[in-house]
Amino acid sequence: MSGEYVSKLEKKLSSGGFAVTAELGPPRGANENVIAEKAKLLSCWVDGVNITDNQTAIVRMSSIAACVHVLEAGLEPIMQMVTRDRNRIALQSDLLGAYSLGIRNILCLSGDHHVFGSQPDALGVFDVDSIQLLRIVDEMRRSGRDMSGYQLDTPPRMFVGAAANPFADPFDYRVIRLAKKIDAGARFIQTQCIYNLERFRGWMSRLCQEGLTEKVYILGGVTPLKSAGMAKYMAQKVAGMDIPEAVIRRMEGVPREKAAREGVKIALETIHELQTIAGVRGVHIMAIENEQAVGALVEEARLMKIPGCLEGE
Amino acid sequence: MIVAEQKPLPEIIEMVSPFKKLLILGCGTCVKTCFAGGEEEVAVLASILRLDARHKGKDIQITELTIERQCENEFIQEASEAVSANDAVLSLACGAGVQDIARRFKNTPVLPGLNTTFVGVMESRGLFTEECLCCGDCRLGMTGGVCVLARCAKKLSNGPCGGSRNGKCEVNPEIDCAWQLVIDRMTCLGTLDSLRQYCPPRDWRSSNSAGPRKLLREDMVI
Amino acid sequence: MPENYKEPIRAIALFYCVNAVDRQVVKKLEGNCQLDLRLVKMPCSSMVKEVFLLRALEAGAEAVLVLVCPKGHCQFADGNIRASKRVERTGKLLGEAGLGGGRVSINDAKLETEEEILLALRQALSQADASGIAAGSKISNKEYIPSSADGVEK
Repeated sequence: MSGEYVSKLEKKLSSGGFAVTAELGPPRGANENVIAEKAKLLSCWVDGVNITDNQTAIVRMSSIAACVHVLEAGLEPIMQMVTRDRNRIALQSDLLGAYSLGIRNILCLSGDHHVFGSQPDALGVFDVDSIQLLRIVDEMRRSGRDMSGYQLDTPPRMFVGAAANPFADPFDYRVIRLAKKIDAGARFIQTQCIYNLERFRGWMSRLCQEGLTEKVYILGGVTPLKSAGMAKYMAQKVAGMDIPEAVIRRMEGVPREKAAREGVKIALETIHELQTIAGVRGVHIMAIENEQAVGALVEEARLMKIPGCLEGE
Repeated sequence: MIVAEQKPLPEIIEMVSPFKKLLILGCGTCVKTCFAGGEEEVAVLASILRLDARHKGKDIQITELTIERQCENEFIQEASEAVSANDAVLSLACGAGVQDIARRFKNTPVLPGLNTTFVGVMESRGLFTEECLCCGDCRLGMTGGVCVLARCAKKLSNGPCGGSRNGKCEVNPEIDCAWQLVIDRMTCLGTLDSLRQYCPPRDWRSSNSAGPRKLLREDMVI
Repeated sequence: MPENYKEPIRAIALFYCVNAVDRQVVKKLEGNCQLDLRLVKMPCSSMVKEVFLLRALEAGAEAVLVLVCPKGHCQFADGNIRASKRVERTGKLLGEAGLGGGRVSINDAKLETEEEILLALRQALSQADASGIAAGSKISNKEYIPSSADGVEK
């Protein structure tokens, strides 16, 4: 049976487990030790690690290379792939390369727009969009063909995921868009950070009504806030982020030195809530440059610990 | 229309500096409508260049002329005399006009006075918006008459990204989210369901991705 | 300063809307104010165009002042707003070309006496001086002054 699953993450989700994934940002440089260090912090606590692809449009070590370092550290990578920087030829070529290097999970994204990055003068490629990329990857897995219809020798068979933002506008269309992603081949969904649980519940119940939760594993996004300032910044500046006033007030209501702890508390409460929502099959913890918080959070939430795993090894 | 804006004056001044006799050639069609290259703009630019020359103690003779279109031979002929009487032409046309002038007058340097910006509309007086990328494969019928290729910052074909907020684009809060416009319009038309359909990747060969395009109308060839 | 020093006569063009200032008061200034003053009368300040302002400079004016009705008081709705936009744009172009963006200015205060208008003219000249370019010549080249055919009566 195990042969049916291309990755441990797929296996865990398929067998009904509550999955935990985290995010790891590759360095702005060629130092693989940075990744090894971050991977150590995560190693016992997650089923998979998303490796971002030049997130916020800032040049970093490539997602593929960083995935390989993560594999060497004994963790299972989820390669993020954005359509911002590569055309369809490069994307497909990198899919073949990534698979040959042992990468088995992929998250298909359009990517943060490059005007926000360190090189806003770059050309944004956007030859295909994230839904079209999903279909490209799915087609390779199902029929073994590339976009031209060519039968590949050893086609990549990847566990394919997509992102969803339950909080972005237009709200009504968000469900249609998720359905399109599922049609295009998405098997798991990692959501935007959840602070507005009420709105998230509303979105989930719509998915349940439409029968979408039967077709896809939803992993709720969680980011522990570090300070009231971070909460306000994210609320105002980060597109598609919904942080209710109450959460900001709560962060402001504690002394500065206890703010990070309060952020973790909020994250813990969110995780517990998410576990009770029908259709939620895991959490995706995004704590970039705060990787040590992930293990603590997972342990405290009693989500999982990889059996026999010794931290820091 | 083709929308353009005048180049920064220091750039123009530098470009025309080698010439003593200059024809500033306006174009009376698109760029006139967007206040960049019609008679009035020709007159203003001529005046500025004369003031600049005087300020620097230099000699410059400027001829001002505006023709109906710089992209059609019939009108270009009207400029022949003025072109041959000058050392150079500063064309206030779009990039196509500048090239057509250059093609017709092989021995005269032709310089661009405008930056051609986009194909768009005058949304309100003085405000121009990009609306068309000339992709050669119009899908406006599928998106409620709103071009997502030209107007979505990520050229998304299958719906809005997560950065759509209050109907605005994350790239610039002054810009409408194209997908919000599509959805509003299709909701109005009662055709929102059709957006559930998958839109496959584009065939960019219809665009200039496959090289410069030519269009031949046999029936018009004499 | 040597005793025989004479302040050079400054050249300035005044474009004025007849509804903004009393024509007779303006007329009195002409030839009677120690300035080489050129007057351009307009039935509405919306008549002013960038090119007229520039041509006045070409004709030798060191500065150009446009007198318009106070905000909300244009008889033709928004002539004064249009005028201010054009003056602003002309200044921007001059500045961009390094030719003194401050040489064109606009005044929408209710100016009633010769003294008030003269003060405004002096201010316009100081502003021109502050922008670093002084043409320093008399208005000599009359062909550049707009004619009544453009709707601007001299």
